Amino acid sequence: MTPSILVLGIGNILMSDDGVGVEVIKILQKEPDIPQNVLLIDGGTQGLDLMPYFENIDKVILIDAIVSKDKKAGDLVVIEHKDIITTLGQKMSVHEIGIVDLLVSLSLIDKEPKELKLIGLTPQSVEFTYGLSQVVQNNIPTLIEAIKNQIKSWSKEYIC
Amino acid sequence: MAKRIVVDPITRIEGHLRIEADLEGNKIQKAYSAGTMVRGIELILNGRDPREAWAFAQRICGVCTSVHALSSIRAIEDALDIKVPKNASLVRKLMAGTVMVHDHVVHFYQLHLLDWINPISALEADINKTAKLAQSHSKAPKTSVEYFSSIIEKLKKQSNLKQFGLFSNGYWDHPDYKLSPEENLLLLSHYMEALVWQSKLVQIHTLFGGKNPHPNYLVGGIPAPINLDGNAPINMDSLEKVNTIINEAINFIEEYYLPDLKLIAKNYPNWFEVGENLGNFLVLGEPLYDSHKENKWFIPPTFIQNRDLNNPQNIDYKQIKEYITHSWYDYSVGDDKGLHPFDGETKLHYTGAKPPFETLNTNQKYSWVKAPRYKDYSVETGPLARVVALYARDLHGMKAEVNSLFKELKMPVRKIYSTMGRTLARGLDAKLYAHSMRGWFDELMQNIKNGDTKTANQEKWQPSTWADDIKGYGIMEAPRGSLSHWVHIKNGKIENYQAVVPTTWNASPRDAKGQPSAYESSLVGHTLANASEPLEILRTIHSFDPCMACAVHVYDENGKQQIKVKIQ
Repeated sequence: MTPSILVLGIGNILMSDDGVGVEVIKILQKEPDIPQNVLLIDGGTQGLDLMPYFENIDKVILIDAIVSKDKKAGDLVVIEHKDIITTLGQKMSVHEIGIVDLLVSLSLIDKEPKELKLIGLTPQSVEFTYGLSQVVQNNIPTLIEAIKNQIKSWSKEYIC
Repeated sequence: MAKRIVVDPITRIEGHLRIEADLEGNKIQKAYSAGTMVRGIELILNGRDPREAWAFAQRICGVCTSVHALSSIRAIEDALDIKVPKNASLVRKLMAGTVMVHDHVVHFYQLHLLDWINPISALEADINKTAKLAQSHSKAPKTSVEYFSSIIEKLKKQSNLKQFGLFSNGYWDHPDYKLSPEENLLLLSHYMEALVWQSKLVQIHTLFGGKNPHPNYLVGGIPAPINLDGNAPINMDSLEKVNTIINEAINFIEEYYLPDLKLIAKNYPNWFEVGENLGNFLVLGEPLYDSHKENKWFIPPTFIQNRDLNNPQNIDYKQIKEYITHSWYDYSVGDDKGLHPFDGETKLHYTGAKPPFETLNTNQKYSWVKAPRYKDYSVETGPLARVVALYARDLHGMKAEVNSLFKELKMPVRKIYSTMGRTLARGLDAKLYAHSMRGWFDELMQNIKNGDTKTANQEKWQPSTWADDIKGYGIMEAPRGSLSHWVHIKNGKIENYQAVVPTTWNASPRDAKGQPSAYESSLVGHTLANASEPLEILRTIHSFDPCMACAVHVYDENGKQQIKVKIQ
């Protein structure tokens, strides 16, 4: 079956919790109950290089560390489609600029996904060290559940 | 009294770069380049298993994952004295060639082109005239009126996306946008074609490396077995796909990139007059296969001093030193001494003003980028350095290539020392690599057909086979210039690791002698039409293809990372 949902983890694993998106992809790749039409990609800090993975995709979940002033470290954050470019575009970091360029470029060549969701955890630390903080590590199951629920709810639409 | 202007951040680059320039009237007298983020890869690698270093090294940059992995692997193999099988070297070359071609094309179209073309003007283009222009411009197939009207529709859609669309951050009223509306539209259509094409090209990494954007590497070879008739990752089917992609890459460069470069060059003759003031060019070299020890080269190590193309000098790798006189680090030997990468130290020490501040104190330390120097000279590395080195050594037909291009543009060859010369050199570099990929592919096929399917040499895999105290370095020519990784392995673990990356050479601050870097010197002499819209600075700085992402990372004054994010 052609994959129709892309789950794309982004971030830098060398900057502690910034790598949460990438670490979650590694875990999901070992989970037995991910449907076959879901493509799991470790996007790292790339931008346009990720474009091939948007072929034949109409729904995308981006996973990343997301800073929010109303949330505390480890909290789940979900951003809806219309706010994603603004949210990522304001982040003063390297990789999100790449992702924004990617999303803008996809719209230019008519390949933007129909639905897009940004799901992540609020980081405790984005210092230059390898490995997640304890509080983010502890909340990974919550993040995985949120991703799986999103996949489930989209998959229902396919059946209808 | 000079007036100082600050451009921070420089847009359409990877990472964060701040440029400060002193103006007399509207002319730049002095310029300063500051990386406002710090890099700490060296600190993360110390104490780790050298066989895993590549997997961390490839994460130090948002764009050039593959080149850091390869340079790291080469350094470890050099230390362990591993001979890499020919197939593995050729596959690595094809992957590195893909990065080179991809990076140059994406840089030109997606990051640099908007310095030369104006999308607002393109909206006014006469579509019939544009179609006619396209037919005479190149052999690129899409030249119909319908095609260009579809491009106009897409542009109109973008013009509504002011904040983050294609049109954001532009100086579209600047008087130095010289192209006609039709030329602007034609090149914008190629901007979009480049987007589609690049997406196909990077699939070479998936075919060979198992996955992109983080392909798998292996100390001693490549992780993918070869079996032409079977289901191995490298088989007839995947090789045929690579073959097709290489042909498409050559076509894209010939039909789009080079004709588009010429169109830009013809319309901006003034940009052959400024943008290069150092005159010193460094190529650390690209080995014919993987090892520098074999002393066989695809691009030979070359130092061009004072633009003297009659005397290309060989490289002495002991003559590389990094200074921190104007960088926020401490050295145990004192701030005015340079250290060779094998003895490199990475001790962060921010001494600048507490943000927010107006301007940097450039008499003191002002950047997170170290200052590498060759024989104590400030040098430029990258496509222009490679092209002049190959010109001087008369290799790969580069001399004839450059002569013919400059003849066509009615420019003397010495004008290559300029912003436009650097931009053209990138195109010639891409052409050389695309054609070389064809050669490497054919060599790989021949080698496999001759019965050699070996892809890895695992003799030295076990740390028990290693000496207690060893050093090695891996060098390569990466898109932005010479990249070198330096490793010291002690008792099976990394004792010290240093990466000297192309943008560190080019974007460094001043050194102990006060010598400016390539970026800093390149801007001297630019006249700004309007100091509040420093398009001229962008044109020249972009011509280097800055990649601050691997030169540095996002940190604030305390060495803590700085993020400013609001969620609405």
